[in-house]
Amino acid sequence: MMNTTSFLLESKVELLSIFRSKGFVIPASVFPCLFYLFFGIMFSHDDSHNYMFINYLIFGMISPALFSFGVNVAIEKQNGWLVLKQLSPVSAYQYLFAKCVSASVFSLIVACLMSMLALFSGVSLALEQFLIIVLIALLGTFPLCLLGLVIGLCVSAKAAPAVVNLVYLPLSLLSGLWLPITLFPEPMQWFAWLLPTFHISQLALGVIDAALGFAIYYHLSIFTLQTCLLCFFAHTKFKQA
Amino acid sequence: MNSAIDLSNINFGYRDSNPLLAGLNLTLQQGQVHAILGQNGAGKTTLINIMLGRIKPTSGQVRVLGHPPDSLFCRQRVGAMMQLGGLPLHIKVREFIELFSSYHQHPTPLDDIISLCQLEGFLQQTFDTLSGGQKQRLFMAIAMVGDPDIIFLDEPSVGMDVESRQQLWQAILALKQQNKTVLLTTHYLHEAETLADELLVLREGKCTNLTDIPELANIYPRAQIKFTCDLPEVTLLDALPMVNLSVEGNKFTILTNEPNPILQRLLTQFDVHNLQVAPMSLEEAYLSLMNNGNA
Repeated sequence: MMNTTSFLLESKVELLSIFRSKGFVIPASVFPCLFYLFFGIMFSHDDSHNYMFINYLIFGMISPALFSFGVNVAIEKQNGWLVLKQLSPVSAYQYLFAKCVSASVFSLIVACLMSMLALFSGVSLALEQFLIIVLIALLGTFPLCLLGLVIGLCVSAKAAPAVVNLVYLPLSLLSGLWLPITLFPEPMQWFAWLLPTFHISQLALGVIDAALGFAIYYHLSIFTLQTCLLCFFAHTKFKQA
Repeated sequence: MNSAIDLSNINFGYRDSNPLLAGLNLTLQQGQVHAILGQNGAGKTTLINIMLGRIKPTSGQVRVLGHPPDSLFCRQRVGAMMQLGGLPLHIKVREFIELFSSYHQHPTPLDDIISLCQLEGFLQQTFDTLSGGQKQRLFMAIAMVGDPDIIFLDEPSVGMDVESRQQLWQAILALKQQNKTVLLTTHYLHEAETLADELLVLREGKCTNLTDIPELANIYPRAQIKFTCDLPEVTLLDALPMVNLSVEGNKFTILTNEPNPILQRLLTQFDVHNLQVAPMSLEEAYLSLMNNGNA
């Protein structure tokens, strides 16, 4: 059963649960901003400000999706919150969509903070370009929510933060979010095609004509396929939980 | 009277070599309070999880209100208070109740649930600031918010002080008056004895009505005589050869069906102090039964 009032209440509870945990929210939103400041701004050249901003924006915006699902679901599975949901008549999808809403709000807050930094770093994007890039990054958080969910359902609450970091940081590096993918050896460049974050990055960079030059539908179709696969895994794991 | 829950020939084990439930049959009548007793590891929580549809038995049939236990119908009509580690720490009690109320089509009015579970004093408190007893009352409110026909209470009074426990008992009796079916597991036998219409024991994979256990029926009517005496145990054993006597230091306990002749002999032949005679409580009978089972 899923109705609008219930979904709004579920989203409200998810948001309150995250934003009342100041010990989580402040470090989780400041960390990607500091990363952007140190590596994306300080090491950026005149011609790479936009490029760096777009990649670090994606890096910052996928963090709440991975952590909110990966860590919180593992905790909620362990302490019994998930059991209470399963015993109630509410659809499991309500709980998951509400988590997507709270992760998206958190991602947008990170995007706002990083955009404020970008104002002082020589980034020059038209408003429409900026909005489209944020929208692409936001849509790109969805498969990461699913990946986080799979991690959260597979590992214990204690292991979850470490495992999420173990996925988050290499995933970002290997997708070219920290360094341009063209600096990597060729096999690693091809390996990046397996990672959804690479396709999000390419689609967003396409807005400023800074992508590698492959047709958009390549990235779109592979990204969709990866999302469907993650959806299948997440659904299977959730049914077993 | 209709049955609320029917279990027939249920088999289940986490390992094939060690079945936890073996050919278990159980029918729980509607509108009654049923208590399940059993030692740790006897399978009480597993049995409840089977009735809730969270665990599928290896074989056998489970019907709850005539439906499969994991059906949407059962999710709407069954409430459960399980042993939980915790809920999201920064959510207030009122927010939990409002959320779970929104899951149901015909929830209990919020004011009623607040008053039934006595949540008035801490509605605006977040979960991390609640005491153990307050958390239990919140879990109970969440179980009852959908106005269910069947309520599972898995060790509901754990962590409660005496006053909270009394209030919980009142709430359970109020549910009974509303013709709800309550299934209770508890370690507190006094609680089971006070609240339940039917006492069930889960032992060796089967569920038996407490009054149907022959060993217990033999033990239960006995009287218990307690006294202190400075004489050695062997002297008393010689004088009372046919008596079930146990000793701890200088404290003696006798279990008997016929207390009068024993009391007469004790008072006339021995220098006994602190003499007490009491009917054996269910708790003692039960513990005695369990200890015999282990022996």
